[in-house]
Amino acid sequence: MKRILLVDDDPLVLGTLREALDGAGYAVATAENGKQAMQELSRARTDLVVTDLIMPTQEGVETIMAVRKAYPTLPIIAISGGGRLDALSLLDVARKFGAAATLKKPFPPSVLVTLIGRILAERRGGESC
Amino acid sequence: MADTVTEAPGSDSSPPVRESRFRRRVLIVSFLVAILVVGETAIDVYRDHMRLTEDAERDVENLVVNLASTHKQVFDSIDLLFLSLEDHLNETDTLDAGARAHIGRLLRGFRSRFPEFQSVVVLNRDETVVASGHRDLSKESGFLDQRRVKALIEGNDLGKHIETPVAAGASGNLVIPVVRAFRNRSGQVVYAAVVALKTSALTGTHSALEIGSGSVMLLARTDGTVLARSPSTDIVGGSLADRPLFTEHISSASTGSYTSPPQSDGEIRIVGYHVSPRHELVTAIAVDRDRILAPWRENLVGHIGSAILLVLLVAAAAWFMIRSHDREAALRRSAERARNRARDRAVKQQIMAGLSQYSAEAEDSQDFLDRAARALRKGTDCDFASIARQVSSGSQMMIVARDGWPEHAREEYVFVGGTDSHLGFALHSRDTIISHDYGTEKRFRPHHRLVELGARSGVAVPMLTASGGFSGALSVYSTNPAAFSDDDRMFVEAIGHLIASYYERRIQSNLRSAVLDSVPSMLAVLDHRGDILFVNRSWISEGDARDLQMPEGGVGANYIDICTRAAAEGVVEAQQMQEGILDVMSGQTDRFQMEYPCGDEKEMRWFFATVSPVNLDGHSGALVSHLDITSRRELEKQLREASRMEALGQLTGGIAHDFNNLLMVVAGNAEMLSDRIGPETREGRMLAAIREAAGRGAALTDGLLSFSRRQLLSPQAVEPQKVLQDAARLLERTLREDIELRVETPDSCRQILADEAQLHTALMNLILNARDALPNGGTIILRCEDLDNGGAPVAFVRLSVTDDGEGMPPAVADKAFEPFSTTKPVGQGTGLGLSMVHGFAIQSGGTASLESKPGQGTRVMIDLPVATGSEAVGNNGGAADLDDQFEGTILVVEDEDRVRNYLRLLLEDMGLTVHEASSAADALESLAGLPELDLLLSDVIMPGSMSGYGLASEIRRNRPGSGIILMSGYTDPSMIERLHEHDPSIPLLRKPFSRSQLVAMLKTVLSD
Repeated sequence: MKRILLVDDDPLVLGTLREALDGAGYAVATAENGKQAMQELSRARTDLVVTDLIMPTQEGVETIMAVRKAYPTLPIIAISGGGRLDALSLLDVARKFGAAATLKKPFPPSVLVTLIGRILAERRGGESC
Repeated sequence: MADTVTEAPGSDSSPPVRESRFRRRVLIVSFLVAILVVGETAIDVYRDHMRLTEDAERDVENLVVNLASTHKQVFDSIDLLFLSLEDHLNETDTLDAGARAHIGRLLRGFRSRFPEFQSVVVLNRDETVVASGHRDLSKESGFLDQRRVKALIEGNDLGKHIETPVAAGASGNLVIPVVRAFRNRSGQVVYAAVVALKTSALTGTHSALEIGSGSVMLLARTDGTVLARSPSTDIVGGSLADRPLFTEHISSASTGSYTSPPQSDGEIRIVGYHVSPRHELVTAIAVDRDRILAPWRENLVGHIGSAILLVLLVAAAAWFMIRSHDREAALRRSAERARNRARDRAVKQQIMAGLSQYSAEAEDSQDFLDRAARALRKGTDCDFASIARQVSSGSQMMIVARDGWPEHAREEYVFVGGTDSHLGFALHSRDTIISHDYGTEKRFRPHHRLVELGARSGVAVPMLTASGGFSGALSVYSTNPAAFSDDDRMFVEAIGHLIASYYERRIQSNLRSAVLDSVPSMLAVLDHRGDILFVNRSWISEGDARDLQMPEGGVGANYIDICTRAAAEGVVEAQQMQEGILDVMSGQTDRFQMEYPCGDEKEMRWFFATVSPVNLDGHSGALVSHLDITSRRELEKQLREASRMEALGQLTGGIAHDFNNLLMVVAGNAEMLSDRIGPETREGRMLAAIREAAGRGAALTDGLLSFSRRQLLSPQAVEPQKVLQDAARLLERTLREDIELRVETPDSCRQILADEAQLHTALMNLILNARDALPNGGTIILRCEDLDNGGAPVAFVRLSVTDDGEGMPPAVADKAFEPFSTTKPVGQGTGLGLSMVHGFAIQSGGTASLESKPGQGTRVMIDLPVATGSEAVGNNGGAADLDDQFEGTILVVEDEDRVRNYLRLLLEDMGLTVHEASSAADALESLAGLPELDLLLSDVIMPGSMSGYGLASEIRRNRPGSGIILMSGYTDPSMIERLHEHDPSIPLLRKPFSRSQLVAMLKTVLSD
């Protein structure tokens, strides 16, 4: 079973997305900030990270960079509802730093599920090549 | 010149002349008195002398006559004897005994009768005594000079002969032999009689006369032979024939007296004499004059003593007179001096007061200096006065005013400092210099022109004032030496102070005017009645420029009246102003302040008025100030708006973030539920409604975020006309037919720097807003125009959308750019359109503004910066500047191909060898194949795990000699700064950057 790490400072968002991913058959781990996320990644092998970009302790962009550094092949999906920078700008930055895909909040959970499925499939396809 | 001033013609002689005349008179009188005293004394003394001498002579004469008579008697008796002998001896040849005896008796009787006779004898030719007065004949002959007797006898001389005295007999007494020869009938001498007269018989009388010691009696023959002398007998027998007595006196008078010249013993004698012609004898008495004059001499001491005393008394009296007169004169002089000095001081004070008064009102400084020069001359009563001013270079002075100089000597002199002139020396010494005589002056050389004019003395006072004041020297000159007193010096110095303070006042006054005129506020000073005493330049120019109700009026008008009139016309502020002024003047309030509008709606200006109390010589006045604060209020309004917008932006940004999270949860769960329940069920439709509502909410937050200016813009050079035309074309069909959309652009409008897509959106928003403002149709005009930048570094182009629709009241227009501000009914608009336009304009470096009037329409303006033509990387702009050439190898790391290609072309054009990479990892890879690297030019945000900063630190470690420049397109610096690899020491170029910015950065980095 593929393991997905959800990172968001909003427990409601975490709950909603966990629900969606659970339903889609993924093992879901959650973290409320970048630091927890790094701990979670070191605890178990993880196939994909979904991270918010505005979080209290560690900005999402930095989380992405940290993850990319520690786990260069781990795909990342960045999500954002905007804030100091508008969502699109942040997501653009995230993409440049190595986010495989970005989603602007609010988005239908199904879109995330579909996206994860596609990325993991690409990864597998890439690996098989 | 107070003390030594010469008297005016016609007045009395000066004190010294009077004094010397008095002194002379006193001396002359005293001298005359002294002469008189001395003369009188001398005459008295002389008279005494003469009297004594004459008395003595008379006495001596009387005495000598008496004495002579006794002498005569003696010799007469001898004659008598001889006569009685004649009867016996004449005509006798021989004497008989009887005759002899008879003669003997005769002789003895004679001798006994006259004891003066030593002896009496009769001799014959044989010189034998034939008869004698003595019985012993032998005693008779001892004294006879036989030869003389013989000569007499033989000479047949019958006369009487008084012979030279001889010492007789054993006693040795002097006797005078008197001889008489007798002849016989044949005429032959046979007998001679000789009488030996004792000289003592002659001198004894003299001694008895008691003439006193020192007198001399002399009996001599008229031929000068001395027969007897008393007291001394030394010269008896000698001759005194050469003496004046014999040579002069006895021949002129038989009796006389005279004063003999000094004798060999130094004595002067008074001599009296008597000649007995019968006996040819001279009797003389000489008295020592000193002895005679002894009492005179005693008197003389008294006379001289009293004369000296008198002279001394006169001298003392004269001395006292002169002294007391001198004292009086000195007192008179000092009183005169004091009077002169007081008069002189009064004159000086009057002159000083006049000049001082004039200095307070003098407008023309040259006129003031001329008057000061006149005052200098009049006040010191000198011949020339001058005022010299330091030339700006400092070492020279030029005469700027003078008085008393002759016409031919009025050219401008330049005085060099130091010792070349009196003025220069004073300035050089920084002290007042008085020269009492230029002829002996050693400290400096007086100016030759002054010497030519005959100046002998002078006073020079330096004037040393702070910069801008009057620096130079004042001087007065006189053709008399030592003509100046201390008062004169102080007077000149006081004039100097007056000039200095005049200039200081002028400077202060000029400064005050300059300060007051430079104040932008309109200032007026009112007296306690409200009359305007002073207005500054702003007040005047404002009054000239506009016919304003307030402020108005110039100096002399009554400001309170003006306010009253304006208040009567209904100007409320004028009423307030008037009350404020009265309150301030009466002390009820310290200060009155008020802001008020002025003008019509077309041009409304705002003023800030203050009224402050002013003390005017004890009266309360007021300073009224009006400051035009229109632009300040405008700025304040803009600032308030900007702050509100900024705060709103912060707020909306935060709300949007949280709200999106909420929508995420709502919509996400609704979707998942819907998936489970199925869309066709009743619950499914309800969930769909929830999802739609969440969707609408998401659109709202999007709008909010665009207002809060957090979009990523891609500014590039855009032609405004083209954008306007595109927008018009796109919307033409969506507008109703009763609305005319017009594009009015000039032939050329400068290119602007903006995100074209966002600008497009903004214009569409504005056009749609305009459309909504035209419910009954109208016109929408799109315009663009170049704005005059007035020399500012950035020029702007104004894009505007104008409608002639309903317009907005000011309260609404003021808030039109705020989010959720809308005039539309609920549900018709989000209220975010204008706020998005505003956010876009601000983020693009421009501004958005709005003019609207109810019923007249609205005009929204977006001012955007002009594109300079070469700044946009990733754009077509950028003319090559061939002057900027570099050498070296550069690695360009940029993930966007378009940008990277452009940079490569640009850098190669500058002469650099360019290598490319699209990410940090890519860059590190190509770096391995590069032997040399001069510069890394890298984007900060790039795909992959390494940012530009990470790459930079790698390069620094591996290629320490390489230069590094990073570039970033993110306008929010905190985005960059929050990167944990961020290193502020690495130069950062912000995209978009111009070619020149890149060149400047390259120059800096490559030169290191």
